[in-house]
Amino acid sequence: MKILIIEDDSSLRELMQKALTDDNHIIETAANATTAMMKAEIYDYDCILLDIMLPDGNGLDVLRQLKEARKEAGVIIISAKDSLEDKVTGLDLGADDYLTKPFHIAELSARVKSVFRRKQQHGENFVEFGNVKILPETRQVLINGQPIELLKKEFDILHFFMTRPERAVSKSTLAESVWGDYIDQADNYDFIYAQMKNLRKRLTEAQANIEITTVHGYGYKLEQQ
Amino acid sequence: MKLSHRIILSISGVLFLLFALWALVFYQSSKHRIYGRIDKVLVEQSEKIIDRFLEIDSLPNSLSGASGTVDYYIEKVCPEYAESHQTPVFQTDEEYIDAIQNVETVRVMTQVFQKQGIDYELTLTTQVFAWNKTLDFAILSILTLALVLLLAIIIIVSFIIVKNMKPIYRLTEWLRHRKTNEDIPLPDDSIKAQEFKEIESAVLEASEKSKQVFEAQKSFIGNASHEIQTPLAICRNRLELLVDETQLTEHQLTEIEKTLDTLGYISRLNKSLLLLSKIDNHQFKGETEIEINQIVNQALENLGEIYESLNIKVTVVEQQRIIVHMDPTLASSLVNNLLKNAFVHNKQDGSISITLNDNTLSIANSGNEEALDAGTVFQTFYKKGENSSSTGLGLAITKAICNEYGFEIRYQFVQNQHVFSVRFQ
Repeated sequence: MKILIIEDDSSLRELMQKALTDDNHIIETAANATTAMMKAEIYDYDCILLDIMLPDGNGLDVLRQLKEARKEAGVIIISAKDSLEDKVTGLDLGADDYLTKPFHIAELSARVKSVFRRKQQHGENFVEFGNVKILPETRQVLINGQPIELLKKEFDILHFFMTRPERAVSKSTLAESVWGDYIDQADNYDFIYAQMKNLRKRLTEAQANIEITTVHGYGYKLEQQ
Repeated sequence: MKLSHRIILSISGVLFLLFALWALVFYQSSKHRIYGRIDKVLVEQSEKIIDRFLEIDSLPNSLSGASGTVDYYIEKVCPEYAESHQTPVFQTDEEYIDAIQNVETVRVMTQVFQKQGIDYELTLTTQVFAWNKTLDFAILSILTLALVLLLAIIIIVSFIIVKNMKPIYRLTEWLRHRKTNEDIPLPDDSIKAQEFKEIESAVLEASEKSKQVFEAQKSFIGNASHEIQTPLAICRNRLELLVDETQLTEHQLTEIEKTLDTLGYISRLNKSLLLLSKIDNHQFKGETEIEINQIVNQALENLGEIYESLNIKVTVVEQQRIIVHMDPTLASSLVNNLLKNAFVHNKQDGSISITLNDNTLSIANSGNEEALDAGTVFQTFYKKGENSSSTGLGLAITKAICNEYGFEIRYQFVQNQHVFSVRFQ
């Protein structure tokens, strides 16, 4: 996939580039709105990562111009502003997703993949890894084509890993993503173990060829057997 | 004390003193003139009597009798006394009058004269009763007039003051109701007085300045928080890439995980501060109908999982469905913070009991068996104990939300239970 990263902070730009290159994407970068528009007009991208605050203009204006030029690239807004209005404005203008800083690399990778999937699968939204397929909208899980039952949190955890396979995920990241704001004062992540144990058991029972392995001292990783 | 009252009181005080002084002077001078006239009459009378006494020898040595309103008598005096009383003496005295059977003020004149080498003293007495009555009446009239004048002045002055002070009252009212981030136009009342115009322009200038400072502060907090997000993202992402790309030992991974945890804490702190400043700046406008019970149950489900190891017994008594109109983000923030608080500051095998009735959500939890300081518990960065992952902002946020919507939040320590209750109006 060809991706254009529009971000004025060179360090963050470099990091995003590095992370997405690892996912076998082709990356172009732009540090300001002018360069970004120039590149976007000349080339076609599958996905554009757009920072809202740019030195020479507002990212939302860039988005408007992109939509006026009928560019088909999926747009993910990356912003430090975590307010509902900003999100709504961005999504109203035709952005596909909205990612708030500071984000996790795995999150970025997952969102890009999701945009790509939506383009590829023509609206049919599913995530597949190994012989496991999940349908987020109906919260269904199919292993070898056979549906299995998961509890709410088990599904959330599996979904989280399915969108970031082969990446080490720290316990705190997992907890934050699945339990949201509720965990912000938890001083240990013991509660993850129980859920993880059950989920692993279900996957093994249903003969999935993927497994969530432990990265000692850090967290977990979803891998194909 | 109101300015108008002060002015009226001062004016009344000064005028009262002036009137009193003037009445006193008037009384004294009138009395002086009246006595002058009486004395003149007495002198005329005494001359007549002495002339007659000298001409008609047959008059008795000592004589007293009525002559109009003037009584008189003559008596012999020794030469030494006559020597020392050459000039006529006038004096005012009290005397019992038979006719009216009362003590009355009288004017007495004594004069010494000689007849054939013998010294005599003539004493004339006249009543000043009628004169005094007139004087009293005059003084009473004057005092009445003064009182009426005083009243009239007070009424007129207060009317004028109130009328002229109106712009100031309106200005005060405007200042009181004005919020720093809102533009309420100043009431247009065509201020005419120069001083008031100056006050008005000074107030407007100050208000404009405070608005600018407020705006600057607001955008500073917002910008600072936003600016911190990018470097935070960089730190976090670098560490995550490091984990993905490098073969690290378990110890190194643990260190990285701990660092990531701390970064997460900074990020949450930052978000909480941003939220707090947004609430304080009244930036949440959206209101929808929200059922508090639902938020409570959802939060309990999640928190119950997270704190499962503490084995806390949770009881919920829902006697009422509490429906409020507020921003959904703030509603969950309010409930979640309170519930989280009840779990975080609890103990092993503790308990939490939640009651929803009478438009009030109250959450009682076991924990440290010592009451918290109800005065400071809602302050920012209030921390009790060693919980390093607590931002110390949760209760401050709850309080700010309650203030924003006019809810009443209270902390009590009852039967070894910490009770937080929110009354939704």
